[in-house]
Amino acid sequence: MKLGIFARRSAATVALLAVLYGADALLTHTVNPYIYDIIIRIGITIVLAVSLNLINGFTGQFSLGHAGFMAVGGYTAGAITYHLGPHWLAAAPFPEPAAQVCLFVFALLAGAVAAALAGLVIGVPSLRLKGDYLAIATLGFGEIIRVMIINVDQLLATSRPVAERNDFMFIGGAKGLSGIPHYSNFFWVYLAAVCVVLMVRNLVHSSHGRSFIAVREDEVAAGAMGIDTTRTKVLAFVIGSAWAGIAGGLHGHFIQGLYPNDFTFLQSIDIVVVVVLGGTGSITGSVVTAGLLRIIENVLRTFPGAATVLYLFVLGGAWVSYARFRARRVVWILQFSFFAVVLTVLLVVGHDWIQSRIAFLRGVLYALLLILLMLNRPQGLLGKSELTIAGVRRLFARVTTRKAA
Amino acid sequence: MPLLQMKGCTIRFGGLTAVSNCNLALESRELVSVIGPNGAGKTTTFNMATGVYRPTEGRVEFDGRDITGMSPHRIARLGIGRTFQNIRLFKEMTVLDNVRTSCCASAGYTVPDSVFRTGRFESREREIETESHRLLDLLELDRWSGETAKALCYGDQRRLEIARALALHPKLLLLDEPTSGMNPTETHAVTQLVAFLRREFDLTILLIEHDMSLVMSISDRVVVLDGGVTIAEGKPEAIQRNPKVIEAYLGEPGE
Repeated sequence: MKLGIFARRSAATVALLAVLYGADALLTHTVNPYIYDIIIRIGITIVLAVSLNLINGFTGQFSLGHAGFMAVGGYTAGAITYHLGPHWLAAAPFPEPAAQVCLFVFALLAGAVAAALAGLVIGVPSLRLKGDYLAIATLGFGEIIRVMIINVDQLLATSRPVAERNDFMFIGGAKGLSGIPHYSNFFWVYLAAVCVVLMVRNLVHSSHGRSFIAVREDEVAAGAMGIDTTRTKVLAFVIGSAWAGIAGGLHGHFIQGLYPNDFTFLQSIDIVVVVVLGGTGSITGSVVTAGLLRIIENVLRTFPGAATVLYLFVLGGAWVSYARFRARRVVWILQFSFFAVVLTVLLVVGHDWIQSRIAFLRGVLYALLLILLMLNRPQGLLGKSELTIAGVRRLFARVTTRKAA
Repeated sequence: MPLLQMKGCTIRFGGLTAVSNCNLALESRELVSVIGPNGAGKTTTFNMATGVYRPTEGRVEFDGRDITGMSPHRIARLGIGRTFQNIRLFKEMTVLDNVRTSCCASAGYTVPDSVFRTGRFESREREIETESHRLLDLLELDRWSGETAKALCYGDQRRLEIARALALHPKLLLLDEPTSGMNPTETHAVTQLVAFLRREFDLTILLIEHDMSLVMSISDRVVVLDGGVTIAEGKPEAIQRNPKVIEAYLGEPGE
């Protein structure tokens, strides 16, 4: 008997939830907290990068304000669980875990709605701008949001009697809002990641998605083909912002606090880097790069990690020089060994020096890596294409047949 | 009642009057060509009719409605399709998607429909796809439907632009130099294509063209612009003999 579409989808949803729940249980018991932390951060970065890709990559509207929308969503969700949470949990008609889930989902959705509204308010005027101008406007709006968050407590406190002003706290201002319950875990973060990937994929392969891409490709032509370009841009901006808001909520309920300095424009740029490196207009590119960059960032924290990355540099550089300049194999091997030996000597001799300056070197190496990647693959890791199982199989087949030939 | 009527349309960019007092009326199913030397204001006239520019003075009416200053997408949805002088395809999209994109105005499903892949989404998408393939087939482009638009050769790109405009189901089609950069054989093919599309879709066509063989063979009427001013209008044969037109094209008679 053939299952109806509804039954099939319900089954798939249940299976997905079960897998995520199982993986969550497995991970909390097997991996150490440091690794678990990285895995969660990767998940949050995926949500941010894929949603930004909808704006920057598919619709071609260069936004630098993603951290601002993340902050709006995060603070909305955080304020809800912080202020309303205890009352709700005390009064809820069902057991604590279920009440918690309801509270968290509600807070996240409220954060998404708040961020979407912020996206609408900011998007309508600024999406008239193009290119660099839009980037600057969104960057400015992102900063405005952050500065508002810093000052909103002081502003609200003025309505209180003088004696109470010092103790007044709503969202914590510059000190940050700490003491948010720890609700985010692997299950919720990766559920959001799966949802954003599916949503963006489904949108892109629809008339809405074709409108997004058409606006990116040629706005005048898009208008002449009956596409409401303003509405299309605002739609992408609002959907992207909503997901940034959810990511903010997940972030706040993971590190159990929200701090204005986590939402500076550097955070926005960090997400843009993931999108551009992965390929603007490639969902899987964003996903892969989100994982890669978070891992590299953390690997660079220790001496062996940094050394490994350096070796990979040499290896990658050698491969590029071999492929690009078609060097003779003997020359190439000699060069490669020479650099490897020099590097090894440097690492051994300079071990203590490097160890003491690892934080500084980490920044240099990370930046160097980004520059090298952009020089060699300006279109990003995956360009505009997607990583599919069939594609990987084809690539694999090509590599193996080339060896055989 | 004319399908498209421009009444006293003037447009100024700063101190430059690009088109002054343009009066143009297109009857239904008519094919009118606009000719004139470079910089005469032909494309600007197109842009006023399609909402890219708002005329400084004057009115544009389409199908009995005032469309002056209306945004381009609304005008397009009312039934004016166009192509561009410098090809403006969605280069990174496939040939099929280029055509499907302009069916979007009437896609008839909402964002939740596409996110949750509802039945309405599936059936509308199937319709759009069938329709797009039909159009591509008609313009002999269907075998390229999976290629990116930028991979097509020049002539095919021009035809794809026409296919994309037709996907809007326009009543009026504006073609901006459909044969620019083509050799005589290709130009002849375009002439036949335009005549064919006109019959097939019951189209009213406004054509900007430099190739006189094409203009004289298929136009019902010809409008001649020079320096933003309409200097002549009439049947092709009359235009060919009009001294003002000859002067505009060949310069003043020798001393």
